[in-house]
Amino acid sequence: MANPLVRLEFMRRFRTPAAAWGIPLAMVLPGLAVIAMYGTTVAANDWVGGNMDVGAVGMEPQVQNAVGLGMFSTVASMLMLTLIVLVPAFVGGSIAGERHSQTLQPLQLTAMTPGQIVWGKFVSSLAYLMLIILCVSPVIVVPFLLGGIPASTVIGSYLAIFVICFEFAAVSLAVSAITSRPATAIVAALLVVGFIVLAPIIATGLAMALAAADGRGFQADQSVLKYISTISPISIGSLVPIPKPNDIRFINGAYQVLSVIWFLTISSLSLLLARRGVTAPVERDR
Amino acid sequence: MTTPPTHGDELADPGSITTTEADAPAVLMRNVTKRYGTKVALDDVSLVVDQGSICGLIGPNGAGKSTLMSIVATLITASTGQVEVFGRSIDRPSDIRKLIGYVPDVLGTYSGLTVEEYLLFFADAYHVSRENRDALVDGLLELVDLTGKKDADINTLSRGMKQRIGLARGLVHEPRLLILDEPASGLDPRARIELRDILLHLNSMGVTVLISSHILSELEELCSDVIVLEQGRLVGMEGLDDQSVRVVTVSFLGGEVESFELDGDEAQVELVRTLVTQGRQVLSVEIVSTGLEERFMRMTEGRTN
Repeated sequence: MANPLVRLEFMRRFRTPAAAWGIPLAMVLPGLAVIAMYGTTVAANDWVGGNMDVGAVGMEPQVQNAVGLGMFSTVASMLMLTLIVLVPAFVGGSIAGERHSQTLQPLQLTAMTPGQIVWGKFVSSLAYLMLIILCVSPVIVVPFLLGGIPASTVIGSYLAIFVICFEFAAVSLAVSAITSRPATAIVAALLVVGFIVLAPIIATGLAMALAAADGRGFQADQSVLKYISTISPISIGSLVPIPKPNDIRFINGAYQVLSVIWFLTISSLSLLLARRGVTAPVERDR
Repeated sequence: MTTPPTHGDELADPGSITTTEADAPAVLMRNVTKRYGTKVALDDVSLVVDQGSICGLIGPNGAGKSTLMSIVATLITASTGQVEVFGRSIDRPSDIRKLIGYVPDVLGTYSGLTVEEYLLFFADAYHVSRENRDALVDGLLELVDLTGKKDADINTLSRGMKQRIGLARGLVHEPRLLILDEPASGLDPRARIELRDILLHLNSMGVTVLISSHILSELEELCSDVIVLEQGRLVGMEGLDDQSVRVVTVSFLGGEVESFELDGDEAQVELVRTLVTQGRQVLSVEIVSTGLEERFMRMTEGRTN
């Protein structure tokens, strides 16, 4: 492994009790959630007049597809919400932790460049997060097996989650690199990631509400609203292929390209900021 | 000890530097000032640390010792002034970092690593070749007498052992200048003696040592030169090898022992002559101290922190 920091981080992470429990938990808990979700979805469908028996056997195909799609949407949304919290909590303390435990300065004095230090931290954090996300795969497979979701949607969702994770991790690392205390860094990373994700969505919602109140309706400022929405990393999800009848995505066409541009801009600026934060000599590291 | 250059010297112009790396001082600071906002941590400091010396940096808390060391280690920048390490300007930190090993007062360690893994990581980070690194780490562990702790979790080591691991880490790339910031703080007497012996051994191998400490007697035993800082200002630089100031103990027949503070060889000869003239039976005269404590008090005009 070319970057010694990546190997070091892997060694450390997989030896912690958190790793011993975290990965099995990442596999078991979402599985239990899916079983509960399956029961709830079937029961809800039954309650609203769906003509099916409880369980996939004997379920009408279109109902089974609807259950599969509903479960998939729920699982993907839950995973995304989890990542908004998990990634900053996981990455936020990485560089600030080095600074706090006085291991950053010796690292800065080695032959490793600031870029290599940041990249080592970034890659190791991201790889561990990817491992946890992969542990959730069986949960995604259940709705897929129920039907109603093409393989392209499942793969596309995975890629989108990876890309969104990339941006969350880059932003969290930047916050970590300019903060002294790990706890402060984690809280700050949570706030910044939360802001980047939610602020454009909230702004879009408010703008829609204002436009509606103004009598212009939703259509009036749609281009502006779409533009604002593309800032949120979640807008990357608009690139996931969705089966035609269900494709009612808000961000489409040129705005999908814009969401990619925002992703690249925010991620690269964050990594540059992180690099600057670990570059010595700096006065803060005294 | 070489006299430090000042404003008027020819070295004040960076363009006029003609020394080669081989005969350049290990550290050369010229009119260095470091400010943190309105606080002046170092105030117009000029000094020279000769190659092959063990130079002690003394001063009360807040004197600027750590700031000075951090500047030389390229961790922070000076507000004004010029710094060279082995004739190279620290403006290009990557060039300097190959030459220096820095051991801070507290060893930051990574959890879940063995001593060997910790040193191997730093060997990799310093781009030590794969063929050499295992032998290098074994050699370093032998040097700091921790071979038996190779597979121990680094966080389970005592402070003294951690300090020695920090020293081994600082030596992993075979630096020519070792900078140690208060390495003996918190160490028990045995660990201090072991550390001193290791540093003397390293110095005999040609490594220049710049060490800070509050413990004057410790530096006295170890250092060839001392630099005294107070409130960010250089108040003195002296060589200890010449022993021009000394404390001697005179043993008399019958077991009586007396101490005398002297200021050179002639004073010592005169003392012996006087004692003999007085009819006292002198058995031996032994230099027990180079009078660092006395010099320190003189240089700081008796002020204490």
